[in-house]
Amino acid sequence: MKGERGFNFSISVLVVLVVGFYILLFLSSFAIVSFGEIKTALFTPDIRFAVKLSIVTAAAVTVISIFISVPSAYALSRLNIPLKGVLDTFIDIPIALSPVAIGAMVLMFLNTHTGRWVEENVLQFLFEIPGIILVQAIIVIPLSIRILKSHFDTVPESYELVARSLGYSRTASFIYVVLPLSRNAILAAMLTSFAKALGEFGATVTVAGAISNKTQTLPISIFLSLSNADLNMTFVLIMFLVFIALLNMVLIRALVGKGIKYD
Amino acid sequence: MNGYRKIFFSVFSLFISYHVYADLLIFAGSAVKPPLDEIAKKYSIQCDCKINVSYGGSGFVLSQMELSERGDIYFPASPDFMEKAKKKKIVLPETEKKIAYLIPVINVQKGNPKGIKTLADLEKPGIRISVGNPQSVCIGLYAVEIMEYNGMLDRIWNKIAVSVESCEKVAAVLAIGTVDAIVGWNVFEKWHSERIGTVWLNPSEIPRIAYIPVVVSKFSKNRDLALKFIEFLGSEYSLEIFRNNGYITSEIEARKYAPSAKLGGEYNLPEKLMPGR
Amino acid sequence: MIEIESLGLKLGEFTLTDFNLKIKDGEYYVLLGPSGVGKTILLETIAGFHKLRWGRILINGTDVTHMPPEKRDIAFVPQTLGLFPHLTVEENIIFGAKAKHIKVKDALPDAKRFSGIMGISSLMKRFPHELSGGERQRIALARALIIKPKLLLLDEPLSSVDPPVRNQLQYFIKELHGTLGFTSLHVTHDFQEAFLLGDVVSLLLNGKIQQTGKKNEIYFHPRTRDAAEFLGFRNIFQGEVIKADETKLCLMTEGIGNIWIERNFRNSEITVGERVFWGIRPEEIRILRGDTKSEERNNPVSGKIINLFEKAFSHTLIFKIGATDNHFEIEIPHMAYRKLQITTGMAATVELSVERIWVARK
Repeated sequence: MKGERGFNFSISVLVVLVVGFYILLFLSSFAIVSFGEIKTALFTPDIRFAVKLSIVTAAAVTVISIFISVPSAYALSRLNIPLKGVLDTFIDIPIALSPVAIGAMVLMFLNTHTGRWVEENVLQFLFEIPGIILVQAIIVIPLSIRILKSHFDTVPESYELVARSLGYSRTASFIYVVLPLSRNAILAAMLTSFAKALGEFGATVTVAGAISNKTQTLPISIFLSLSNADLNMTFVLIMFLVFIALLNMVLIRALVGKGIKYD
Repeated sequence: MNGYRKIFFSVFSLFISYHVYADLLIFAGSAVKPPLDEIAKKYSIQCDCKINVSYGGSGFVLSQMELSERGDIYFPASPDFMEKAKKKKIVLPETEKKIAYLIPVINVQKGNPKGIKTLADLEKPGIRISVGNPQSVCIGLYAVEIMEYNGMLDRIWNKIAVSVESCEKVAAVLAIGTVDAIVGWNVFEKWHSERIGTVWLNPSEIPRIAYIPVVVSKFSKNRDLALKFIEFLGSEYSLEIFRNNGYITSEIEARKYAPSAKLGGEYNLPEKLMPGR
Repeated sequence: MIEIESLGLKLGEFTLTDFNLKIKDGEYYVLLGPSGVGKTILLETIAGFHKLRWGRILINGTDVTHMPPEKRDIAFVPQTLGLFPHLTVEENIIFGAKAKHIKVKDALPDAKRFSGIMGISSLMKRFPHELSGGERQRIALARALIIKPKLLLLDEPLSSVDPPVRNQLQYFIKELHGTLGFTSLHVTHDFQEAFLLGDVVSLLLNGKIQQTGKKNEIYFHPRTRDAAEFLGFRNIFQGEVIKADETKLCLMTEGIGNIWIERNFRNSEITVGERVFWGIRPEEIRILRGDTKSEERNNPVSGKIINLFEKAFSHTLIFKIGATDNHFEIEIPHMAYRKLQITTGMAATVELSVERIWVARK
């Protein structure tokens, strides 16, 4: 038992240290910023716009991401489509790529023949808000698919078999059996999607640019104020970002019910 | 229902805003944000047109402009990027205008606690210094040239504590207190007035001074408007704003600090500092 | 009537060829076979989850081979039962109602009735994970039977249940079948279970149906050596037929001697000179008391008891045959054990009852 206690103690200490480190990081912002500055920032229309933009685009990205990744993850988990292994591997690539790389590729694409056609006839993405949503979705969706596929892989297929033998079509058994069992996973995917979109910088600034009162999200504002050596503003904005992220976590966790046990 | 409506409309309006196409899209180095923001605002009221400015590192926004083939005006924070833009043939060189001038100086902590008075003082033991990365930052390049010009490059290169990758970061690194001195631009003090002081170099020590140029982009669909804006940038009104932000706006005044220095142009890094050494 | 004609399928590494099955209405058909031979895949194919390579499946004359599972009217109860964890017992049971466009309130009375029959009425508002194995099994059955399927498929339903509950459930299912009369295909590896429940039993070994028939037939007269072994014949030997007439067969087995076997319709085709397999169940070997004499026609064998194992309800003895390395496994009830005063190392003679010896060619 002694060895076990030693091990338990060490790993507990490690976790506390890790979390403590992050908390210290956040608290260090307070060294520079004062409440007065926070209040001023709250009243600056530019900043209010940035916060609103960030939240709205992150939310839009989350919704789009869920609608695309849930069926995709299910297909990858259940179906035997040709080249399934290849598709699976490809999904992992965007996750590993640097966001700036992805942004640069989108920039290139939107300048090709097809891209130009889209820009002129469908929707303008470059240096516009749809561009923010587009590029963040590109980054967020593979992550969401990974989470959901992992989950679907653990849902026993026997549930769907039973449902089908009881008369449910494939679609119906997906909606009435698989989805209810996936609540936690979908919420986890939403949480991750929102958080990732909220904090996304490299790809966003490449495709949508850093345009005040237009495409300036919170992370872009942080970058700009650091670029302009406005340290106080930088840390105020960082605190806003941390706050929104925390809110996201709390909200989603509140919506997550007790875990569901299955065979 | 009211709450939902509000949310719906704010989302809707965000998307609607894209329909209001900008008349001018300017790609600018973030160093010039404070004055440019003010000037653009004034001009858009005057011309009743919409001006969008996208900021970033001078090189970064140049890449954006090149890849997207968009944009009306390119406004980098230093001349070397203008040279790059011209080499890439994505700007109209005949429209180039010099807006402000930059003098290399030694920046120190406010109050100069380490008592640095001359260039040679930088070699003193215990003095931590930083310059921008000469491959990507204009001021870095100029700093290296100054050191080489004054015969100190070999001695001092190993001493350099931090090699930072953007103009603003160079200033920030001093402002935060990581180093004691940097080779920076004369405007840096204005950026961090409470934390940075300036030690002017001896005019004979300065081989080159820089300027901030602006130009019309080849991709502009509103060339006339772009030209008019550039003119406005060079107007007394705008130059006053630049001066308020710490910039020197006339060549004559710039020459006071470095009468025999070259203006802009190219400087090639010495062999041993080239990448892959 | 459920008919499966020449079914062939290939799924991954599992292959089945020319599989045939006929289940009459109301029949309880048991497919008996060891684990891992693909009984589950077979059931899933009948239910419609896998494509056939060739063959047909007919339900009351209708070809359902190309119909999706939801249209076949075949209820499927997987080995894990598949009770939906996010629904209550009641909701689980009436789950099939929605698919048939029956409103919830219309389905409830039926559900109540069924749960009464199943003995789970008090559990309706509970969740599956709160309940015991036996209760969950009954809920799964209720859920499957309430939609009145044309065929009920049960995949080793009792394998994950504790022995005492298993017996109870077996009796329960037997009674249920008597009451409701559903048509069922039940797969299992437990031959006791097959024996109890099956009207008809098919033995599935090595990818083929080895034998089909009423349970007694299969159990006491397996037609092949593999079948015999699977069904619990532990004393199996090979011998050569040296004599054969209308009433008896005589086999010569090395180390054991001559064995007499009663002739019947099952071994009627065996002729002199053939090499055959023969065997006897552990329970059918008699140990003679020390002084009792025996005649050749009762197949006496001398030897020594070299090991004994005490089990809960009987003793297993290992009997070394003569001077050979062969042995018999003998099973005797405790009472006999005590009466005979058996000890390890004791010399003894055993008798193999002529009517109880099994013989087969393959």
